[in-house]
Amino acid sequence: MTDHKTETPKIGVYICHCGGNISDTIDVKRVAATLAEYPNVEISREYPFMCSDAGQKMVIEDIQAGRNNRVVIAACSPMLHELTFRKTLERADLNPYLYEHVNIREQASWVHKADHEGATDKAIRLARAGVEKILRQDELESIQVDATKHVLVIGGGPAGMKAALDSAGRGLRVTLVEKSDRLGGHLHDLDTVYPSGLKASKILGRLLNKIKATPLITVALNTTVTGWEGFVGNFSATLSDQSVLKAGAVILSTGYDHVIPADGEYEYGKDPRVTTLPQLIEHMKSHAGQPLVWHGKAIKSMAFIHCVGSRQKEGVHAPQADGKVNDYCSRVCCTAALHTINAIQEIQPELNIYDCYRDIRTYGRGHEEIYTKASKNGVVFLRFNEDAPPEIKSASVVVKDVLTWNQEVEVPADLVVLVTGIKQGAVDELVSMMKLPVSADRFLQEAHPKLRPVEVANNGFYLAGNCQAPMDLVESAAAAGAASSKIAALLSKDYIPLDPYVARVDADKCTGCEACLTECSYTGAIFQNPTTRKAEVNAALCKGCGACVAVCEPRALDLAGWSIDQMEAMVDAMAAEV
Amino acid sequence: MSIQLDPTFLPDLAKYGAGDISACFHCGNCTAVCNLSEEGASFPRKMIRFAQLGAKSELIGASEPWLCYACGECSTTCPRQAEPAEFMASLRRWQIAQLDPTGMGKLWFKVPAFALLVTMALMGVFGTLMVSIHGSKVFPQWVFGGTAAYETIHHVGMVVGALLVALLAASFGLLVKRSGILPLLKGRKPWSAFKWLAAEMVTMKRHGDCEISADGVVPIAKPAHKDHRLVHLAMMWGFIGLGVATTLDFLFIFFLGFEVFYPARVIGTIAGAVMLWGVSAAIWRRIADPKSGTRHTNFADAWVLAFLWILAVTGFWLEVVVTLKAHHVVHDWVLILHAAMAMEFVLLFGMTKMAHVLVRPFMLLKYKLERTPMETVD
Repeated sequence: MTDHKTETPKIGVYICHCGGNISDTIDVKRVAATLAEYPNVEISREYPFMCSDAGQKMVIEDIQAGRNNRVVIAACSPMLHELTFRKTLERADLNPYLYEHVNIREQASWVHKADHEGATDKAIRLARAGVEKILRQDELESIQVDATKHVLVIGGGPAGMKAALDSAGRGLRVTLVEKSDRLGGHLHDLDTVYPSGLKASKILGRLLNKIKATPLITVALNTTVTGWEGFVGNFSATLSDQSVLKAGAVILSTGYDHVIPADGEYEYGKDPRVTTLPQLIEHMKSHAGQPLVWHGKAIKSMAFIHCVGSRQKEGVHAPQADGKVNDYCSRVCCTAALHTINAIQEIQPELNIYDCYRDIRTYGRGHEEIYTKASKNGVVFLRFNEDAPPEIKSASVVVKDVLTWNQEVEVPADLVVLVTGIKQGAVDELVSMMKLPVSADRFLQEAHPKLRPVEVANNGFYLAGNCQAPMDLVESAAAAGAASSKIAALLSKDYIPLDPYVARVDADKCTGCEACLTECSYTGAIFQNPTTRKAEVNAALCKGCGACVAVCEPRALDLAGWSIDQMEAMVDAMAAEV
Repeated sequence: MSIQLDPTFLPDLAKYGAGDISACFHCGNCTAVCNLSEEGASFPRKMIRFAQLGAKSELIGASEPWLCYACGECSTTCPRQAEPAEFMASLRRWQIAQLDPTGMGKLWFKVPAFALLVTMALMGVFGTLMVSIHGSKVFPQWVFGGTAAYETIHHVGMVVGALLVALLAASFGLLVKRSGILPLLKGRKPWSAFKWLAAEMVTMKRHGDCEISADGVVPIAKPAHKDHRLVHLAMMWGFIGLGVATTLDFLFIFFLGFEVFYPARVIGTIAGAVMLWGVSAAIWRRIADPKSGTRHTNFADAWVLAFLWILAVTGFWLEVVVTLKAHHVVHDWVLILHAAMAMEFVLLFGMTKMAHVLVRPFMLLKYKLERTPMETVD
């Protein structure tokens, strides 16, 4: 690679039309012309699609002809094409970090559609700031850490089993840690699974056989993770048997717990006719093919009540252990309830079933058919409002039915089934040990619900199944597969490249005051050299948040690629007259 | 008082012709698209809900089924293929069946074989009656030569007519009780409601509103035989005209003792022609254009149309042979067929679809009274 350090910065600015997304609002010609006059800008162009082959080729030709040696492209969001253009610079034999991506679509044209003048001015300011930033950019190199080609899967339910199999299928060694004495998790509790109607035991048997036949997978039963350190590619986990395991990445598939109804909620625990859906399923599993008999009584008419322990409302429902209500929808219970209802009606078509719901969410592929089948079976659906829950009477349930203009409907019920939701399992220890982000619903949180759905923001952590959110078997399997694919890509080489935007220390200025150490949220990211007493950064653990920079009085700390100098220059450029 | 449920209701209603009503998930499209549904008289969804629950007490006296004229828009719009229009028709049949004091009405609608059996049996009874009372004379001198059978027909007709009045009176009593109309009439002078009803019966304006396009403004241009309202008006006025002609005929011949060519014959001929056209159009629609209006013709529907059509055709046949003074054994058989069917039709009037002649105006009156504020009724 050419050493550009000695060269005078010559900046090329490219304004993208984004096929009208930008140019319909912003006068791109004026932006390009104004930037052409800006100091250190050698060339300034505009083009319909910078991301197209032709657009990228233009940049490469300019660089190779020596017309510029730093690049600013004002276009869409960097989430979309920053990597594209970094690769463009690499192809032109230029350091990819000498590239600045300015977002004039989401931040200008789309948000100021009615103000063409203002949007154009803003685009000019943003582009100028990009120029000032890249002018002061160092030639950064991506950080490389070793990749231990071993995956740790925590939780041996169906998601964990699938994740282990898929990871091993890509040639990675896997340790599958399960705290109980058997693999399979909640799959053991189910009779048949929707939408396929397959026996849960059959699916479980298949998974177990495959795992047994996969030498790359080591199963550790009755085992938990008790200690945790390291960073992506180089984790080291202490297991409950005191052994230490080295892993490059970890998949969390810790599963879920069923919500237990509050004491006395719908007379649960007081009236023997009131049970929960998991309990009913267990009963049906152990009495397969038999008509329903509950506490010695043959069931002729039964009621299901949805959203117990889900979609709770403060002030209406009793709070959970942490003082908060479960305001989320558990998603899978509607279909699970209807699937169970259909199973009952297959054996007893004459049994009258009343389904009391708030909203039916049969959202998945094949779920709507389950609803349709239930309605064809003659299930009567009654809809209640959250603030007027059904009332349990001695032989019936009284529902203020929205579908019948809020009139009270009394349905006979020998058995009342509470369709309980799903809640986060016991992951508190893992969360504090691994510093995992947790959502308001107590589930483990992904980095981005759409763009990074199975990755945790912390590098090297992946999610599979119900520890992330309520999911059915199909979704858990999909998540497990996705997490395994991500890990396969991560551990595909002997090293893992990381972004160089991390804190760096100027040892001459550091006074060893330790302010940064207390400010840092990431264990081990910044530490004190025991001999020199100066701060040092572990680039693999640092997230580049800048918290340490802000508290460093002697200004010994700075962020590579986002230095204070760069920020100041950018602010000045933005504030200057257009 | 909470609503009482009956899970057996929906399967029972299916036998009256309702489709897959449990499929309804209450989107309300049917009610939204209906030109006649309105606040306080909302259908079909409201009726569907009560049916799903089996809330018979809410349905048995409901006027909503009779506010519907089966344009079929709701069935076209239904995303669940629950066939609301068929459902409304089945609800009308169910209500009629519940009003039949003999209890046979239920079987009549639910079991076509029973209806067929009753039809054939009664035909046999009336036919035999007419033949045997006359004696075993040779046919050519029978009616179109003698008078005995003619008298028999009239006497049997009177008995049948009396039976009809008794049965309808009983049905009417049940109707008054179940509809809860009496409290609506209490302390009121309901003449304006009656006036409205009379105008509605003469013009069937609501039936016309039913066929206005979904934007509620432009009536759909249709040839006369596809205009449901016009076809129904033809059948109704034709039927009434024939009733008037028969009564006049009866009065003149039996009480005044002489035969007049006018006006009974003229009224009868015109009315018969109008009715024949209407019934033919109705039959044609059900065969050739089953997608419009009610889509499924069950035995009870077909029975009424078939009887009316055969009665009209045989009626004209007899008109012609009387006018031409033709003598042939076939004409006697036609007369027996005509007379037997007419008597059967009258006898079964209250338990067949024809009971709507009683129920629909009654329910329209109830609807009008419900929607008229107390103080505005004069």
